[in-house]
Amino acid sequence: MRANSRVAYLYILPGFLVFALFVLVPLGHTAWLSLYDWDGITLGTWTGLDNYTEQLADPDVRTAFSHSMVFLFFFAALPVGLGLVLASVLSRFRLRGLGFFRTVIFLPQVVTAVVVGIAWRWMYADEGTINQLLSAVGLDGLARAWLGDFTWALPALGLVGTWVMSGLCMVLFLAGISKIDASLYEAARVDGAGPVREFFAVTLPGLKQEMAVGLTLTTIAALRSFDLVYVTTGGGPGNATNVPGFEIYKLAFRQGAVGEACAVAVMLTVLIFTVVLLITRLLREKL
Amino acid sequence: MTLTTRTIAGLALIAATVTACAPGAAPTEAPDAGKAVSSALPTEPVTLTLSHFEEGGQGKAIEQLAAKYQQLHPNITIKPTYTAFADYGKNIKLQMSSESAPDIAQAGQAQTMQGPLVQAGLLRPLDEYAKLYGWSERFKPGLLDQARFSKDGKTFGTGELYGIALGGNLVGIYYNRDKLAKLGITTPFKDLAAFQDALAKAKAAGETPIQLGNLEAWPGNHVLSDLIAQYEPHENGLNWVYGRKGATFDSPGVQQATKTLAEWAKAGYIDSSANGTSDSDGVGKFIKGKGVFMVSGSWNRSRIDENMDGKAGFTAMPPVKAGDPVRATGATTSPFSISAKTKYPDVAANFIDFMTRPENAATLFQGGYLPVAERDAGEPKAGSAQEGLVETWQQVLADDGLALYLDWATPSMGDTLFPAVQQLIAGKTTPDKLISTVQENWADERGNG
Repeated sequence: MRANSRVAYLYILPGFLVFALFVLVPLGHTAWLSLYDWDGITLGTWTGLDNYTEQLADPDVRTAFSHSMVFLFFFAALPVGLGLVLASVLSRFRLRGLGFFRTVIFLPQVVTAVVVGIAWRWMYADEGTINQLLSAVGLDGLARAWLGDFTWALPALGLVGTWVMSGLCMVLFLAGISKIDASLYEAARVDGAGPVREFFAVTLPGLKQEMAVGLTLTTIAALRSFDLVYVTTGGGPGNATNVPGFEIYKLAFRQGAVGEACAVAVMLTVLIFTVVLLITRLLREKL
Repeated sequence: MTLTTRTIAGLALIAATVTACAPGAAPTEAPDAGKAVSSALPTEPVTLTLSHFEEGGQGKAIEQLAAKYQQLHPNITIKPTYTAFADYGKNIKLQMSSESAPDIAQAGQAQTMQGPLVQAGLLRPLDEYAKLYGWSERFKPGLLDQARFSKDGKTFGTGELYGIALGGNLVGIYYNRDKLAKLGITTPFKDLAAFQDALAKAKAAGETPIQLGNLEAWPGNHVLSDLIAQYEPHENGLNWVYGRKGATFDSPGVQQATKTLAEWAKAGYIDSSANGTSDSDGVGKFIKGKGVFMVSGSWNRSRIDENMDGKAGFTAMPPVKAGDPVRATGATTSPFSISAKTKYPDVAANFIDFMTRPENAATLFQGGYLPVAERDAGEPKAGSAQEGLVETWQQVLADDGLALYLDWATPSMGDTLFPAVQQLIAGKTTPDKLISTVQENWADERGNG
């Protein structure tokens, strides 16, 4: 047995080496740098946990983290919900051109975030598609430069996330549903369950694993978001769409405060780990 | 979980190992520091690399000059490498500290690039070359100071010279000639009140008085800083940017300027979509005729001239009192510095000198550089925005009125000031709040508030 497990470790080794080299070592390095006051070139000075206390006390950083929570709703909760509805509807009805719809809804996943960002920036502009649609239906009064609006910029970016992540969730759940034993549905129908009842009694419990995967992926995307903010608003207007990922970039590359940037990065990593751990715990036990 | 002695000991051990070595490197002296400088060139084959981020015509001018230099000195090759500005700033520190650092590199003034590089001892002081080649006579007063730094890299504007620039940039007022004619507005404006009257007139006629694409947050700051240049005594403004002791943003001039910008926004003088429109899209709107004026920099000039073909003009932000010196936000373009690691500092200095010699002024001017040296570089096309720009530039230099850029003051000034200007324009913050936020950052970073 011992020899066997040794062989097993040997199989893991190549993958682990790559993982260690490109994930664990940089992670450790980041944590190490976060304890220094360092500008990126000259000799750094040891500051212990000062970077952490300083960044935690910074209202801008705290706002950035609170924006992450808003993103959690738009990037994770909403797409998972939408994905569930879409998947159960699409799997119930034999739609003509199902493959086509699936592809269209999944497509945003395939497009690079930068392209997504620039396209949406144009759509949200004061003369962009969104406002044209609004005025076409007589809602001119609502039209505005969405990304420049202090109230609407953050939800507007969030909706881009919803648009990107929903397709992924849907495809994930469709695959999950096809795996559920058809006899369960039959039994439910024989017992007189309607579509809603059927959804809660059969589909939802059957999708537990897929939900865990979907929530994990979307949560990570929500919390680490950077590219979308970078190409659309740059954190503005004011700091209305600033997120931790962008704050890290500003600190490290624009302000030369590498230590502080690493401290925020470590906090973000811890937050992501915690949330993901929570998700896997919850979905393993309940539902 | 409780902290056992073992975990405490473990943590202490980790802390001990971690503190033992710090990231980065202590500054080193240049290998041949103290060696006499010379304008004599070597006879053996020499290749120098030059890193820059100048785009379009300005980048082409550098390549042309490098080729011309090689024709004159067949044994010397200058290899220019272009990197887009967005990446350049992030890589310059790594690049200059690497073993294969470029011999010559463009390094933006102040804390944006030059400060950290000087602090790390990666740039070579150029004062002896300045003496050798007579640079202080060649360049107009005040221009070289922007590239001076104290040896510790903390304060700039005085100290040793670390770079030479090829041209200048400037913020002022672009205007749409057709619209001015229709509204009966004439330029130049004799004073700020005249400009404000023009804005009111444009607004009353249903036009967008000032076009502004401020999604990136920095463009709006140029409107503010051009106003500050009028209201704030010139020396005070410079002292603040240079980070000199006792300077403050909380002064009557800055207060007046900030209040004026807030009033303009409130009165609807600034495009209401400003914060949601990118700089480039804002310029596009101005070109298409949305906006009577646009307060922006010389970097947008060639696009405007190409697309508006004689329908656009440029004038200075007028002084508060008619007849006062002309002042504007502006500076030299990012100067060229010599790496402390180069084996051929004499050749590098000779090439930098070559680029700024009078005989090459025309090449630089055609590339789109605003001339920084005392010389006649060429004539802009009549009726173009370039014509107004060059004229304004000469006036500002003659009056020694370049106000520099506010975000130079500290490494995080841009990230503090720009979002605040977005808030000010949207009425989400007050002038007083903006000023105190900015001054707080200045005092924190300078440690001498």
